[in-house]
Amino acid sequence: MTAHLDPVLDQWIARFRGPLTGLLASWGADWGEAEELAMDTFAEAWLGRERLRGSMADSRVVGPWLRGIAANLHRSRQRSARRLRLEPLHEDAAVAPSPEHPDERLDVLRAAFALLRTDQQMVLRMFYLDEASTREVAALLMLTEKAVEGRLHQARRALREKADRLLAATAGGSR
Amino acid sequence: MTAPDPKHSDTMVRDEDLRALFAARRPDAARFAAGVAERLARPRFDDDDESDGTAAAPVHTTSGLRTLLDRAASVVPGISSGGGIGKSWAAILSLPFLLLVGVVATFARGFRRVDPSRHRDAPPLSPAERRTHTDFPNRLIALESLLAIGLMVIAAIGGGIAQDAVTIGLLISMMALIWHIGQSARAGVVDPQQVARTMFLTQIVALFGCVFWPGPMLFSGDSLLGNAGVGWILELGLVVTFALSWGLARKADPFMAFALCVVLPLGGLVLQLPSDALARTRHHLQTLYLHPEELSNWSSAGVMGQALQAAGAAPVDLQAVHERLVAALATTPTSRSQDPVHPTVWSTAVALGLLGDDDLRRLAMRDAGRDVDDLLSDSRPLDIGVYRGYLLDCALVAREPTAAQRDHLARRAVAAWPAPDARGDQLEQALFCARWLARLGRDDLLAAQAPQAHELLRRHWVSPRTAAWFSTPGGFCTFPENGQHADIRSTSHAVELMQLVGAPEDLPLREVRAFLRHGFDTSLIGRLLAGRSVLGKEAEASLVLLDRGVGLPAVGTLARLIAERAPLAALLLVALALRAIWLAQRSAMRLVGALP
Repeated sequence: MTAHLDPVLDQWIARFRGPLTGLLASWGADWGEAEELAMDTFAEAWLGRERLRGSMADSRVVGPWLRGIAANLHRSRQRSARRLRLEPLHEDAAVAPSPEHPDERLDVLRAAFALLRTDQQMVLRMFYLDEASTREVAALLMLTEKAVEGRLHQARRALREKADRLLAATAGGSR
Repeated sequence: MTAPDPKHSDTMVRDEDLRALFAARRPDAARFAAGVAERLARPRFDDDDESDGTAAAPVHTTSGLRTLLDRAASVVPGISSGGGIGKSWAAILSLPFLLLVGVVATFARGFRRVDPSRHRDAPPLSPAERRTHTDFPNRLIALESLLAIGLMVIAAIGGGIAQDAVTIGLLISMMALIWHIGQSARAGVVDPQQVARTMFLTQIVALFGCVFWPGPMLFSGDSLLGNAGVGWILELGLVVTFALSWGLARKADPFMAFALCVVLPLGGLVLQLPSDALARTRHHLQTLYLHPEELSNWSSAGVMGQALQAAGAAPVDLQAVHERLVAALATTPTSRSQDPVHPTVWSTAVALGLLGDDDLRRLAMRDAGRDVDDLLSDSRPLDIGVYRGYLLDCALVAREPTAAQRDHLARRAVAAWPAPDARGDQLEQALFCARWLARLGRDDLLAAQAPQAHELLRRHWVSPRTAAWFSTPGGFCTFPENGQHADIRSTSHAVELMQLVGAPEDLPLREVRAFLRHGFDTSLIGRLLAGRSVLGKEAEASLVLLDRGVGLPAVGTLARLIAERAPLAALLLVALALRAIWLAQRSAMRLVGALP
């Protein structure tokens, strides 16, 4: 199926799809739910675009707008879940399911990722889930680009340290 | 696409691996777009408020407003920064905002009123008005001198509202300029050369009154350009005024030429120059003299190393320092009191990565291993002194503790966390415990301590409202119970603590940045005279750590404009002066030629 969307909305989706889905996943939604909520967010944002003050091409304007809508939808989803007593879907590994042919290196990274601080997990999810730039991540997190770059750097370094530690522990255990 | 720090792949996970990690979760672009399209095509019910996320979504960031509220709350008494919407609007109508409006309004009014032809129909000056008009330069100098004295007093007793005072000074200059042109036109003495001189003089007086006399380092809150920005704008204005006057009159004014010869070199010497704090911090660490038997500089080196690590800068070559440390390791002191090497040296050396595993084992043996063993066996809260953090690294390498022992060490660190009502340098103690937990990889315990750490940070932060006289606000103080004097060392500790546990949401980090920026001098004379100021270097390194390790919240356009109100006022003053010169010349040309 080919969707015909307004070029501006297309731009929004191309720039914010990954970071927004990553953000929603960091707020506690499982990956499937995060993707659904992200789609809802784009649709709601587009329908309510008259209320957006500022340029629709400016990430610094669109980012906080999308974040606000996503937060409202996420809260609304949580309220519904509580009311209907829906059980959260815990199929969710922090990052991705183990594939049929496991890659040992990725398994270690996956385990190390789970040990990261929540803010570090968040920035990695937002940046690496899809093709994203720090500008969009910064706009959604309402931070400067420099701050996002700093957080990414720290998160990658922390991930490396934790992965090394896990590898060392595994090697020690097998000795 | 922006990829952060591709050059340090040896210490970090590679981009490709992280992309592979998330590959299975990556939304399919076509399916995603189709999903959005399908949602847009659904029939909608407008009264379903829960489905419409835009109902209460913020339309722009709130951080700018938050900064404004905090700033306003610090100036207008009795307005809390955490109130409802009524209070918010009351807070926005604060002194900085009103000054910005005043500057823009004065410029808008002056834009037309500096045209001499607009005053042709005004009544002529009375004798008293004529005397005042003739005496304008002296009165202007007297007025700006009074302001300069006021600014010097403000700088001395706190400096929290210095930028407002500078803006007021520039606003007065703008008003005086507009008034003078009007009076000259009414007196019928609009001589282009004289107007150019007066405009030149107005800018010089503003430069001396607002920048040179009170000091270019005057605390300027969260302004990026600061008071030095005001100085550079006025200096540039003087050069352009001179050039314009020369071009219009076709001859150089000797008074202006002489004044420029004095003012330009003076500005070049004392005004702050742009600088790359990261590159400078790297240079400082590279050139810092570090000797194991001399305690000076080691604490600062620790802060610099931490900042460079957070910024992902390339490692600094400290081979010579490493060799001195190895030589010191070879000596065995007869007792701890006789040890010529202070524990801070070892702790910093470990933090800088200067000691390898073998060095750490030798270091553990240096005290006969007693302290390291005590660390693992003792069950009381950690009480080894904040300088002796290296013992943990020694224990981890030399004793290879089991998981249970590591957990025991972490629990001891948590138990040593300062109590909420404790007195003394609690920031340093908290940082010591936080470093310990981070080193043990116990982010869970670190996160659990975050609320306490944030409370501690709030207690030690010095706001413009609570800052003691003769102190600069925005930083952190060591002993809040003894008065609110922010200092660079405590602020460095606080910034590192925020890097480990995160910053409290309500703490204005831009004020913290302004304090640190105020702590070092990048002017030419500052670089020449204060090159040995270790605290200045520490402030610069902490600024890098704050920018790269903690991160600053984004600010909106209005908040940015308000923050830069003084440089904006200087810019508009220069624009008005240039327009006045231009219009005076045009007005004079109109009078040339045959009259009927």
